[in-house]
Amino acid sequence: MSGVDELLEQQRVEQFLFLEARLIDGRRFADWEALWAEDGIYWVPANGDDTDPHSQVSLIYDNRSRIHNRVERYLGGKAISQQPPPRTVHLVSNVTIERAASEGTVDGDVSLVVHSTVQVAESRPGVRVDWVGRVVHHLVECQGALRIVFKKVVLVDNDQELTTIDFLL
Amino acid sequence: MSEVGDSGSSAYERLIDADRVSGRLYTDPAVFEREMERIHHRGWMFVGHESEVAAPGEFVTRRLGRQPVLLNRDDTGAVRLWSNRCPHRGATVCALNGGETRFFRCPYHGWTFDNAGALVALPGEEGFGPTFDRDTHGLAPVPRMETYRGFVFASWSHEGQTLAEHLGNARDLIDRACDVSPVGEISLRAGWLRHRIGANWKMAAENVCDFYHPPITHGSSGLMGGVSPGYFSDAYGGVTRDLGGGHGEVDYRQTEGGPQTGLGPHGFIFPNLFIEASSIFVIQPVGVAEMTHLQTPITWVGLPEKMQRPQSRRFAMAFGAAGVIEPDDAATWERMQLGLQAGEPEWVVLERGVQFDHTREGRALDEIVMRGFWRHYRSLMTDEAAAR
Repeated sequence: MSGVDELLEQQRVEQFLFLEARLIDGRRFADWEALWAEDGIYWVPANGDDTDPHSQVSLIYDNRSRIHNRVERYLGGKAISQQPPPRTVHLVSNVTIERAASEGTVDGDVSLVVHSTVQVAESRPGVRVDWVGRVVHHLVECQGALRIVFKKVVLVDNDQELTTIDFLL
Repeated sequence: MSEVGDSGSSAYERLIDADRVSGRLYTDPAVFEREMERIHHRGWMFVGHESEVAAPGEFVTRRLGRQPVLLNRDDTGAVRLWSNRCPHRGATVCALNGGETRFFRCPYHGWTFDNAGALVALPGEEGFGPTFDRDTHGLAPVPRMETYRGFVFASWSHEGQTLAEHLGNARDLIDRACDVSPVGEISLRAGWLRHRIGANWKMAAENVCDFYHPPITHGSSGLMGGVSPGYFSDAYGGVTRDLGGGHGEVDYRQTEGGPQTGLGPHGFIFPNLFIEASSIFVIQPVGVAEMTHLQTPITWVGLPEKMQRPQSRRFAMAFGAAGVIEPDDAATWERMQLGLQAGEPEWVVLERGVQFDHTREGRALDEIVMRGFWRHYRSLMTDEAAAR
């Protein structure tokens, strides 16, 4: 890959992550969900960076249908914890790209492993929390667009007592 | 509003009626202090499970009441429970949630203890003089610890009820949780989620057997879609049972196709343990308006993997700070904590199904277990229990 191509790819990936953040903060959850490929895992481990999600508790370990349920819950108007909904601002930074083998990708396309950091300011009545984490996205190219097949958020304090996280990280 | 917490027994008699309690019991810091002394210091509390420290050297740290403790298995295989406090100057000897070690070393002056609590090394020991006795400077064991089927309970009090007396009828809840396993054994090794909630610990305790709230509080949860719509109704056939001693359960065993078929019980063991079919919850008081809700899924020893996995997946979806059930409970309790700042009306109402109290069993949605909780609470907060 040429230097120019690398720059273009970096720019494209960063814009994708910024768009994702903007959709979440704007509560455009259906549009956020559309960023996901047909299959996907949204994972927020607990008690460490890489605890086995099949034998150890996770804060979130959603397959694609659960991602949909989560979004539906936010949009459904019935969730007590969304009355009023928490307001968030995501700051996305430190974006680096690692090219991965094609395993686990849709249509056999080459996937990108993207590392970033995120700071999420959360506000709800009487509560103001800053959440900080390291993020890994696995992105694939689907019909000319980037799509998420895997998103993992390692919160810096995931081994501590945490207040409610009822928003998208 | 004057504080009631330290004004003696008679105040509590006035604040707790059979079918209503004063809202001040959730908001007054002096009430909380008295609870810590009379309930969480004198009484038995669940602290952990033997399977969490299955191998010699394994340890976990917890709080028992508000005090830091260290649960471990020593090199001889015995389960031990210590104050997590150096007997020299008081620093915690262990800063981790869990792990495995043969020795605990204080960070301040390097006093080092083996995993049976003995002081085995200290720098400059000769400077303490010839009368210094290592044997009287080991880690301090929590005064009383007993286990029942792997469940470890402890008390800071040197005397009082035995664990068997404390558990009473609630022992059956533990039996049923274990007996889902073909070998009668559970294991808790999936780690804990620790959810900090801005509400009084009694709200979580009362919520365990409140089947009146789920259709409202949890109306958004996709999980409710998998449950019969009639489940949370009196007609469905579940029973709420006041087990005495502040313990209670909701029991659907007699309901054909009921949600608990093949799983463990749904019950509360006073004052801090909730056995929820396939999960264990611990209610950890922090302050009058603050608690931590600890949660972990149960693994039933000897049960095929495919029968366990759906439960652990359900757990990850539902519970913890980011589940689809727990945040609604937390939000509700936090709103109760705010609402109860209003001193009028004085009372919190617990009247549902009061006509069944003489049988200690109510319909699924009745508030009978809460009334049992408060009856026991009243006996501890006044001098009733001591007078018996």
